[in-house]
Amino acid sequence: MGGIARRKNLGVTFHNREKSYQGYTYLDPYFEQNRAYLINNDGDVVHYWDLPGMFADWTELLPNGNVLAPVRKNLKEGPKFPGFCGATIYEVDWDGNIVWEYEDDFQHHAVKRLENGNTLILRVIQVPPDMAKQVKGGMPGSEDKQEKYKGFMWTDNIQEVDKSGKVVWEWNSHEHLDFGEDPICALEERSEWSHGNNMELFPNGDLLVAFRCIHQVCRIEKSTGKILWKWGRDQVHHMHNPNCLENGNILMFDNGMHIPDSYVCRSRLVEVNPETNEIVWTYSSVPETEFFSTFCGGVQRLPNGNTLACETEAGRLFEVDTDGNIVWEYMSPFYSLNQQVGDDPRDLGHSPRIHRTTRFPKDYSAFKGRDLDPAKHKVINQLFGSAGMKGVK
Amino acid sequence: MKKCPARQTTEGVAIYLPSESHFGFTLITQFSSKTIRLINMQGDAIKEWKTDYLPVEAKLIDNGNLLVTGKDETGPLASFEGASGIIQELDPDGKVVWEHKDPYMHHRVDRLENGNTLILKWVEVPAELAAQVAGGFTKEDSDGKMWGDAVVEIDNQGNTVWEWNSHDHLNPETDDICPLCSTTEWGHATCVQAVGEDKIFINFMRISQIALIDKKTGKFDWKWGTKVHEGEKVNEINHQTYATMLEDNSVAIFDNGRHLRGEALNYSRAIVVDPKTGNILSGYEEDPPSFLFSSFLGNTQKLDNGGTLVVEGTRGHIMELNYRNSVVWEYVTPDWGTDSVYGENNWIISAYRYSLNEESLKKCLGVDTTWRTWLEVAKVSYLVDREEESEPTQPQMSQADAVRNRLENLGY
Repeated sequence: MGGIARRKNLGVTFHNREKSYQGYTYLDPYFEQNRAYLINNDGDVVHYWDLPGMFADWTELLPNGNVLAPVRKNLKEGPKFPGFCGATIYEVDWDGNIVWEYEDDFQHHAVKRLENGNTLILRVIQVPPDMAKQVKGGMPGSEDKQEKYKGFMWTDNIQEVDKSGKVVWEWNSHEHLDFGEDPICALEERSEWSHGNNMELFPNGDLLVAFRCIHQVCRIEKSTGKILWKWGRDQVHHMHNPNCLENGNILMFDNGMHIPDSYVCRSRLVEVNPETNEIVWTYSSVPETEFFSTFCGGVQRLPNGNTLACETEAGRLFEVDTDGNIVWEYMSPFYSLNQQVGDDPRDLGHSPRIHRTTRFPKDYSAFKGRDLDPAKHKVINQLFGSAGMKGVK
Repeated sequence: MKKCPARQTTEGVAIYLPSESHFGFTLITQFSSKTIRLINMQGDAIKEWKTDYLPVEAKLIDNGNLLVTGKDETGPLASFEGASGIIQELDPDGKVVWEHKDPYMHHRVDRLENGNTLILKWVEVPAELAAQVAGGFTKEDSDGKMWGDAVVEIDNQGNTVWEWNSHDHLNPETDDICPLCSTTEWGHATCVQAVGEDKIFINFMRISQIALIDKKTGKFDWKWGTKVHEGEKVNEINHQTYATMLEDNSVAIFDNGRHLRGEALNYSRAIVVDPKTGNILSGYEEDPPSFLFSSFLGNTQKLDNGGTLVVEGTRGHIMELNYRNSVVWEYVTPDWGTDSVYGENNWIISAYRYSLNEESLKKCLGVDTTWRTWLEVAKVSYLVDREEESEPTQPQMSQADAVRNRLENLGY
């Protein structure tokens, strides 16, 4: 462990009560206790869910107060495909009891519960070898890593499964992506073409998916599978968490890793108008290098017009107003105690990593009739809440 | 408030363990400040030099003067990272006693024992050769030129006494440009250093290589930085902005890690490597790795007590590690400036610790070597009897405090 400059102030480090959106933030840190927390704007825990195991990337709070949590299977011995897939997807109720589970050896990143009760699952699939040869980009020679990737190039598949686990809809990215328009980033291995890392829904049921390795965000028409809109190349780099706004725009976390010919690595929040493909709003830090997460990252437009960002690697959440002024900031005190730094994406050492977060209004349906008194969680809050953390208020 | 509030409050000295650290003064050159500062262990500037140009690098030399390379904004390649154009030698009063201009000069320089100076400058790679250089991508607005590096030795009149062109010796096939960097430049040398009388050490950032040049033949004695592993090109180091050869012929490197191949992470590290065997002799990575990252800028320095100074440039952050790699001194610069491209920042280009027995420091400060005088100069008020008003502005932290603080902050 190194210096304290980045670790000195934890918890809520800045809070403009008039301007910040007062709600509850759903937070699932990579922390050995396998918990998802709900915190208020003071950084105090008001509820937590004990999950059935180490969740894979992130978990989702459902409108009924249940949590959908993909738990990585046999983390150390799991399938040796790209290494980041394979999970048992659990749905747990408000008290952490398992109410549904579904096993999928190919699941990665996202799961999404639909209104009809079905579940969308982002999965890996092999690109047919003759097709894989036509995919451009990536590091020359990296496709030969037979052992690691079984000699295949992998890409994304999306399945919709019903409660009984029956597949009712399916989509393959290699049937819709374009060899010419969608080459792999020059610094990535050719073991993966697209690397989907997010899945959100449009009001009409269309899907919004970000493909990290090709720097593209796509709107996929649910009825036909066609890509209706594709944007990102040369604009954003290895982006995460695009989501649809009420005004029709798309908001995303632009990681800003692997920007060609740039000496600077920096993340941004980017809002783009899909009609004109113009960027209509951005947020960058001062200095711009101060806000940077190479992987993951979350962004959310709040009901009062502010924007909440999750800077994954720093474990930092912050809320900015439309002018880019910070009105709330939280440095996660939930450091992983994992000793290892290794190949497994979970072995990141003593990290405060949080993949993404969501802030919910206080009157959100999940909270109806629930006891959200922070006093109930005295011990946790003495350690990690406003009483324990000496953040600058 | 646009800056990160949590990190704003950590400016100044965050950790200082006097019993463990290598006592001395730290010379800091910043990216957007025309003030070069020499600070004491408490973080107070005991000496400042104001420069006419934005500095690219500054170092004290044996005669006690400061050798500064500065940026000429009107230079033909001023938009290139690290472009300088002017060297100035400032005496301890800040007076310019020597100056050399060259519009194509860039990055660091080295003053030789005979009074000559080694400089780096950009020279155009012949078009025929440039077309053969592997890697890189062509920018849309490219004028088709590729710039390589020359090492030039100049005497104190500015006359060239020796010159070496990297493009005569680099291999266009194996010394390929990083796939994410443009073909505007080939090597992008950032450091040059005389080793003995007949060798020159050089660091190439874009091709991620370090090398030792034989001055007589111009050939490389060795070149290290990449290897081919299972048919795939692998960087041993990646876009390292700073490397220096140590007395035992090992090399200390600040390995920025901006374009690591096939990794989802960006992280920097400070290492000492034996370039002949490629063995990493010692090194420091943060835990988690991303907590030490400077995409460019930054440097590292081995200290006489076995410790290491690590400068995380784009976070304005300096750490001193002891020989066990524990942080014994930590500092975040409060000196902010504005850059025309990157905006407001407190980035540090480089920092060097000068200890009390170094001639350059003694001559620069003009003091004799008694311990008490040093303490006076250093304003180390808690060790000598002094008036109340000279209390250090940053309270130093005891080891126990620091440990308790760390544990508390981690929630133990």
